[in-house]
Amino acid sequence: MSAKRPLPLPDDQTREFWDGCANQELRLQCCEDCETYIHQPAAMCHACNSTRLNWKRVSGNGEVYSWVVVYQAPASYDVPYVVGWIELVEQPGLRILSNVVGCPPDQVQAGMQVQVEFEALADGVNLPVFRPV
Amino acid sequence: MDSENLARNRSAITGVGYTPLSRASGLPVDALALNASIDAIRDAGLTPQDIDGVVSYAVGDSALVRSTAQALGLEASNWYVDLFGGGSFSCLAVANAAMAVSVGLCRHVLVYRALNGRSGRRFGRSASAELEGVGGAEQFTVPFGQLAPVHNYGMLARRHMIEYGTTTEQLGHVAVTLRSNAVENDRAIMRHPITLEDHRESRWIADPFRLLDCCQETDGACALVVSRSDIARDLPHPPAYLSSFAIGGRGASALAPDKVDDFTTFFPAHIAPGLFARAGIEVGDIDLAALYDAFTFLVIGQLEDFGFCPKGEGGPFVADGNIARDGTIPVGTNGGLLSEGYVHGLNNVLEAVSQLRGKAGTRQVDGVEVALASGWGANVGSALILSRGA
Repeated sequence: MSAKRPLPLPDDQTREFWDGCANQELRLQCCEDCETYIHQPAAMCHACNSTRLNWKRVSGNGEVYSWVVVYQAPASYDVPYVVGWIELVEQPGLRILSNVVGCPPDQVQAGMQVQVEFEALADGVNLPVFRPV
Repeated sequence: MDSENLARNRSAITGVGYTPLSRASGLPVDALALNASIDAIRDAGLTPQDIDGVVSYAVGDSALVRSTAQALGLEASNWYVDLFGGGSFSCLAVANAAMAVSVGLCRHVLVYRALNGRSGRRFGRSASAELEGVGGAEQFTVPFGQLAPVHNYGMLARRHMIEYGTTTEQLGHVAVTLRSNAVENDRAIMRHPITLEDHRESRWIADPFRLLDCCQETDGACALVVSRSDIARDLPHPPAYLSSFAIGGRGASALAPDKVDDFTTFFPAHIAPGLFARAGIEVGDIDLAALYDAFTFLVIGQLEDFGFCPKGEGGPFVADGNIARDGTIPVGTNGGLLSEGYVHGLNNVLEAVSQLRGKAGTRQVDGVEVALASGWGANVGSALILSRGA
């Protein structure tokens, strides 16, 4: 994809996620009280309402849960591309929106095993994307 | 569940109004709002001096209520509400008016939605995609190319296909059926008949959605008047009584995918039991469903979760002709958002009113006594039960 895509603008609640990506690590918010992973980052744990949240590195292993193949997008995106939800192995229903790369769009399947890798979007800005294993 | 409903049938839709629907109105949204509003007020047999409340919804793309009210020359002002929201608010706007009437605040509330959805701000085009940086929830979507509702809803359709075997051809049946209704509707933007083959050959926008799975970006406005029921009975048209309403639900959206169990349980599963109970009906009593249809799949998902067919069987249900005008539950008799036009869902509410009045011309469904209308956006939706008898 082109590097002209919009860059993420981290805030206090999300900076750890993007710092992790810059270091080639997938880090997710996790509840200190009930150990539920949370993504996208939130102010409160949706499972137990705790506000004691920290960050943990996760494996980056998961499977394709759902996806679309985008054929029409602004010029800064190279179509066709696959954007979809990856369900991570750490917790049932723990899903992250990302791209499936390294695979023809028509070969993507539900349940396909994928692993995170990092794609440089700009200097110091990495996107976590997923490749079939 | 507590089914006592103090608002049941205490208000009714008494007037409906439209501007022409097009891809280039040539008018500012303020003018569209005024033209549809005066049309609705006159249809109700009223004048602007009778209106004492105004409700609208928009996403920063429309005429503000305070401006519209002043330009119409309203004198009374008991309830002016600008709601910020989209597809899930079409029936909420009507419900908001109904509550103001039901508690005695207002006698007649004007509700409108006006937009230049094609020549002005387009939903299918993400302004954020043109920015250098994106914050908030968009930092987790836009950089990956999830840019528009067609992507969000496409994910839901895909998951339904995975779990239940729903097919793109079944989506095509929704497109073809609703278009056949638009052929009978001289207000509709798309009036030429289409076939399953046309659907199959239309280009991909975001697989599993083709062009013909997507609604029409539209310029135009719709308006309606919600009146107190005891007054409504003396107005020119048979009242379409507001028997119950709801907004809520939970389910899959782009914002909190880890906070729901699945992608195939939608808002009606959560609001329908209360909605029906408060109206004193069961799903089988509903004669017509004006379902929010920004994309074909949304019809299938709602048919299942409102309970018109078992979970997972929405695809075969539409393919078997159940949503046609002579089917078990006619849907989108105006052509829907897919073919009449996309006035952000409010035009589907107006169609339900026309059908209840028995004034839908060659697309009239026989014997419509109870109609369901719905709106859907992200993980919540709104709905109305409209009845010909109080």
